[in-house]
Amino acid sequence: MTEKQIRDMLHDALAELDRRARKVILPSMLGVGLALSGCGDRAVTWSDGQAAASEAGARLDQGATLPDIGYPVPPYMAPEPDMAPEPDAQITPPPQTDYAAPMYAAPMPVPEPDGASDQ
Amino acid sequence: MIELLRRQGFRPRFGVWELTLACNLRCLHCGSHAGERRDGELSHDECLSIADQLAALGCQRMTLGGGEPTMHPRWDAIGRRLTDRGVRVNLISNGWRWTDEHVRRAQDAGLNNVSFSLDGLEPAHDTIRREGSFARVVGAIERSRRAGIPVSVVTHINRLNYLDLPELRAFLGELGVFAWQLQLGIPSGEMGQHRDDLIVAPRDLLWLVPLIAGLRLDRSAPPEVCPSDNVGYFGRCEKALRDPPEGSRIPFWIGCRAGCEVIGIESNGNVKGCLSLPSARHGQDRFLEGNLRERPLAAIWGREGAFAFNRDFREELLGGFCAVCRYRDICRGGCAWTAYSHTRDRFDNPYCFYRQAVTHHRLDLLGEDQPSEGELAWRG
Repeated sequence: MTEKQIRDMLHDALAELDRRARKVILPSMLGVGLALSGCGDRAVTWSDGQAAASEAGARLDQGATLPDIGYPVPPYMAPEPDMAPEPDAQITPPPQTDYAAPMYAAPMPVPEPDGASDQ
Repeated sequence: MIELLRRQGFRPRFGVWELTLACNLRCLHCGSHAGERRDGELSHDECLSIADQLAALGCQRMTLGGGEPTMHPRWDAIGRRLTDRGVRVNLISNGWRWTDEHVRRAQDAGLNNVSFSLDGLEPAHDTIRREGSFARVVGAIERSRRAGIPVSVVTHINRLNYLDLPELRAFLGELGVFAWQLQLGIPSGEMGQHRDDLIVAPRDLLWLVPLIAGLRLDRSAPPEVCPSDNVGYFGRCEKALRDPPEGSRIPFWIGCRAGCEVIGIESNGNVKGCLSLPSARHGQDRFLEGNLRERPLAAIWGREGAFAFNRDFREELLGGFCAVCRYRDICRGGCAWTAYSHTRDRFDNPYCFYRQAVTHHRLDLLGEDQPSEGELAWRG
């Protein structure tokens, strides 16, 4: 790919996002306007450690809720698998014990089987 | 290009969540000094709350990692919570103690796939991790495949294994691995002690990147080769590196997405744009954006000024060759973790195929575009 081809594709993608934004944000702003007309208190409220809906929503200057434009796999993510079980699926006993000591380290805490991480 | 990400909306679509820093191995290349648990790791209820918050903010995919995530006693319950909320979840394990019980728990949790770390053929893998670990992780892969779990593999590229990549790919295909992620080993954590013996030199990209691109283009048999975000950028191989088999509208690198649509969560609740970025545990808190015990995820993610190293990018921040590069506004210095680990400057990244090709006058590797006068005149 040449630099020009790359920039042309970016230009097209940005234009596409602009078109989508016009479809999404205008109705959203109308909705917000209607909501504001019926609610005088805009203070952020909290409940059980959760942000109120007004705090949790994406900011409009962050593109609101536009759908993905579609580009490649993010870090650490394998692509969507399309795998069936092998035909003769047989689970065999594991050849090792469930726990092995660390290699060259001082003894370290091993979580209890259940709930040890609960503080 | 940050404008593309901004217009699409900053959301934590993808994430990596360190469930615990406890690990049963002590790998030479471990970027996080894993082994002992962090002080004050999150409780189970706190993890479930975070899972709910991630889903509410639009998280689509989450990778559960560590440490060794299976050292967390309830890794499957957290995975289940995420999958119940519509998030596709996978898990990265070293496979050392992956038993049929783990297979069953992964299936019950509804995991999308399981990834195993495999860092070369047996000699290299066992040198980096532990004698006998190659046999164990291969056993873990086979056990998972027999049960029908899709398996991917993650490999850190280093000087012990980089010559074995084609052979390793064939081996993984025989094991039934469907995807293989390749990432460059970075001098952070334990790997910081191995700059001379394990870290790949920047100029090695001149042959490594074409090799990886060639492996990716060969789709005659699995696994699909998936270069990570620190392999690239631009030049003749770009489309081959980035374009997925089904095609993409943006088949090229658009810059680091940490804090724009990627999130990293440490096991004590610390939030970063990418889990790989330096940890406050090691005295570097410039990438720490907040703690989930102190503030809800939405407040951390949506805070004005958060993740400024990416969201508030300006070209004048760039240094070194990146400051004169023709792709500087698109690339923004490549992988933030890689750049920072090597140069302590998030915006100056020597691990760039285009940069190496220009500075070593390998213009045949650039494709149709030729370097600008400014690029040719740059001297590091």
